[in-house]
Amino acid sequence: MPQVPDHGDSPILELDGLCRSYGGRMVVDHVDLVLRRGEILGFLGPNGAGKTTTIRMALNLVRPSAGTVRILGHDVWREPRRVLPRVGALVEAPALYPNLSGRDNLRAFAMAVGGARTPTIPQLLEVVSLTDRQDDRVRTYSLGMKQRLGVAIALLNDPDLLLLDEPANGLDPLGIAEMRDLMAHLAAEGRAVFLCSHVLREVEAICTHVAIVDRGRLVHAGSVDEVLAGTGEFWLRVREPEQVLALLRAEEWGRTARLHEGRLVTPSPTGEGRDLCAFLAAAGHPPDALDRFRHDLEDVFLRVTHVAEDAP
Amino acid sequence: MRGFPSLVGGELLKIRRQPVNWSLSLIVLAAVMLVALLSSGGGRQAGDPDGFARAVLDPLTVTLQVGVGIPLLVLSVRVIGQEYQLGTVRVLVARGTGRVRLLLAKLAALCIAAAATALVTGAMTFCALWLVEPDAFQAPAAAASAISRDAGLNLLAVGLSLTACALLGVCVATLGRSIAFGLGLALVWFPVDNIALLVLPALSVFTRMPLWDGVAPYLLGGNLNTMVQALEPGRRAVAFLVSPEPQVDGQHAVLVVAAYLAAFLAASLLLTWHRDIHH
Repeated sequence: MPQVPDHGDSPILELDGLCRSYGGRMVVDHVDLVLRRGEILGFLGPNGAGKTTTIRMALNLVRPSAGTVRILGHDVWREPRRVLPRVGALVEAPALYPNLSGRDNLRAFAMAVGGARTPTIPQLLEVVSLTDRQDDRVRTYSLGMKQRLGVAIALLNDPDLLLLDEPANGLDPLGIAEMRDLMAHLAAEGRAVFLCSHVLREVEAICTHVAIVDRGRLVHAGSVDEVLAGTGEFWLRVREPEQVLALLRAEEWGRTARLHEGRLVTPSPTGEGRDLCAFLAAAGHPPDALDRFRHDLEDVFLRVTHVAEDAP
Repeated sequence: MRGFPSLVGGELLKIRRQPVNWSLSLIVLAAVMLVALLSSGGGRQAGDPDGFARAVLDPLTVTLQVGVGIPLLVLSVRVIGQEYQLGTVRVLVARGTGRVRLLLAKLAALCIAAAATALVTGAMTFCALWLVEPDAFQAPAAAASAISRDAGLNLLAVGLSLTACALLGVCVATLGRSIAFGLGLALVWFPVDNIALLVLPALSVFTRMPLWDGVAPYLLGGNLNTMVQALEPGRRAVAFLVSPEPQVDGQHAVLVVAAYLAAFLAASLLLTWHRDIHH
């Protein structure tokens, strides 16, 4: 079973053989995952793959059929009051009290969590850029503002672990960029972020690790660099790609050269980019651009899930 | 403030900051208080040994039982149903707030809200009655012990009635996990009980089955209706609108109501503890 690699620190979140079935149908099937401090894990999967059920089990909302969820080394189901105050979560749409103001929403949740002090509320409102609207009732907020308030609630009590399900929902491009910065900042502070998203480019840009589930099973996991790493190839932008492709394929080392989404992808004579560049320049086709070839997360996702099989 | 008191404080904040809770309570309370004041002097004669009770305690009891009871029933449904309907229970439980602990905090907040409302309402109704019927307050000193006994029994009846309203609301909202379902069931409960008290004797006659007559003494609404008179046989309490009363003694009424309260509480705890939170 694939696992997010061990980075030496003690894990913040551990899913161990986690299962959940409904009426004999396995919705989550023996999922194993480890998440450590400073990591941002992108948890991906097609609709109905079991992502939300996994998050709900991690948050003590749904009882696992088998397996365990440990947070900071403690079993969530056995010791929820010990560990869950250390976890911030935004699951699906932000759940708020529409007749209360933004500040009162934060106060109400802070009192339930029992550890957040009043001075943290203005700071949190500032972090999510809601200071100006803090006294307005939440029912007058836009979806993006509600989403930001949901994130502020998740940040109450200075959590060690954040579980965020589609946090960019309803956010404008600026809001998405702010959310990305916020997550990077939180991870840099030593927290772990478990991010569920359908926006694969965002996951690729933000996350340090990815885990892909399909039909309840974990089918691919690792660091983003590992998952997206190519096979030592390079992509090129040249003025006459067809001629260059023929030139490369004539070489022993260049037989696997190909056009991929309008770009030329090829091995290098020695595995080094500068030698490929020198070869092309000597052949009269100096490249306009050259870089190491990496897989696209979308390609990886489609390759390892059944979505590609079901596509027309 | 931390721990359970903080949780109760959060619940009180949510109750306090929602204008619909205030407006609903004030409208129902004003209407019931008016009816109670109008019915306070009904049929009272000079030298009536229950004069003070009929003029002051019964209207006060009715105001508290119905005027505070109905808003409390609605509030308890809203307090529970809203969390599930809005999905906020998900956030609370996901942050380590135990399901049962949250339910108990909500019950504690409802108790505090009900007690505060009952105190304010009681004081206001008392003042209004003093303005309407100042003569009734001139009770002889010799009747002081009887009055205090009457007051104690009325207080017990009010306490049981308000507890029944709160627990009924909590139980049906926990069962349905929605305000609409909870209100639908909670608000028809007592009218159905009262209608059943009128229909069951007729059903017994038509079907010639005495079984129907045997059901009436075990209905919650009927036992609450008759609580004051059942606890103090011989006293003629003021009737409020249509409130049919089964023939039961005080001990029976208290036991039946207590059984209902225990059942509502047990069902609420079990449903809360046992079920997953999906939506």
